[in-house]
Amino acid sequence: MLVYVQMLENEGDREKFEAMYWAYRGLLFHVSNRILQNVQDAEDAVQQTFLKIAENIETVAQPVHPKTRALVSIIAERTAIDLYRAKRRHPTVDLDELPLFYTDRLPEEGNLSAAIAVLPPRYRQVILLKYDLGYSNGEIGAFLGCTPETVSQIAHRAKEKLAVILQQKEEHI
Amino acid sequence: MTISDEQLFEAAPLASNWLLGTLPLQAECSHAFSAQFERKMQLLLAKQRRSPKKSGWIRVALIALLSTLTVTMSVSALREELFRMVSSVLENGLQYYIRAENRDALYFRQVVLGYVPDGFEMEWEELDRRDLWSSYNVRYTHGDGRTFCVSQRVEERYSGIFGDLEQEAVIVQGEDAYLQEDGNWSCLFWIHGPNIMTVIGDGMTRTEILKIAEQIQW
Repeated sequence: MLVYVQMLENEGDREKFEAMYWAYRGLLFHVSNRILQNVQDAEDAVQQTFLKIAENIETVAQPVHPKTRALVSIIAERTAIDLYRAKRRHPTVDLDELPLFYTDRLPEEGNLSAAIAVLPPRYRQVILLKYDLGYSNGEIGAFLGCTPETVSQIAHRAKEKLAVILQQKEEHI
Repeated sequence: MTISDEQLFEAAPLASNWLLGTLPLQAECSHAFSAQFERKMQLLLAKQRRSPKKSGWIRVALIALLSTLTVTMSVSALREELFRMVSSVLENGLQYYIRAENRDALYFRQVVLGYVPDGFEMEWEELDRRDLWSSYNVRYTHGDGRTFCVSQRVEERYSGIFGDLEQEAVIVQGEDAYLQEDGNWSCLFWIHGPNIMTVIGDGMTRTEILKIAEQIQW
């Protein structure tokens, strides 16, 4: 039975959560709505994102910080994509195959950072959570709703994809 | 070509900065959230402090509720709708999240009230069916000002709060339920299959509230 009870009775966690809520709810709506293109769905995604954050609040170091902004944006993007898929059983577009950020504004240099930025969302999310924000595979799995083994596999495939992207850039040059 | 971890630790922060730079500033992200969203989230952010002793008592009650649900569900092969519940003690009570493990089991069938106390008339009802959640709410009023509402909700994820009141464990249609009372106000909460049920009364007796709940038809 998978029922569990998690007690977040630490006052610091409660304050952290509230600070994050007020700091990022607008941003999370923006990220969600950009993907879902529907206000109601985007609000649902924001709520689900905050539920995920609440469930994993102990892994958030600082409530308002550029790293936390990155974290909540990634969780919101993942949640919105999952919601998009759930609502459209046969989606015409696989969002995980598309770079969702405004990559046209990125530098044109063919370096590894630029390659990470244009990775498909699932790969990019894992790479950033792991190598920028320093989360373990287990923690990433908790945020993204998958097992640590799956996270490890995604990270491995992401590295392969990055190698391909860089190789193509080199050949272009 | 092989990408090493060291390269990624160096490159990922820069990529993250670029990507975050493409997002608008917080001040540019204003959105008038719906009343429903605000209501749910305000519950999550309630500010009054609960005494540790009372929080502990409610926690024990919730664990008991969850344990009972666990046992009941494992006994019945028909009840595939396994819920995960995550709760957190907020400053004025205990916030709970209910998350269904089996989304396919989240079927929705509108309930019918089998008992409405004499003199009450339906003021409004609202049925809202969506892809990810469905709800049915109905409110009855009496000429003397008494009211009660019945809320049925089926949702993959749901959050709510036990307010800063004592809870009494009761049984409704064989299910564990929790009743809060505060003067004229009372609230009964329980889970029946995939349905998250609430009966809220204003000016109603506990006998009436329990009878309304007991005679709900599924």
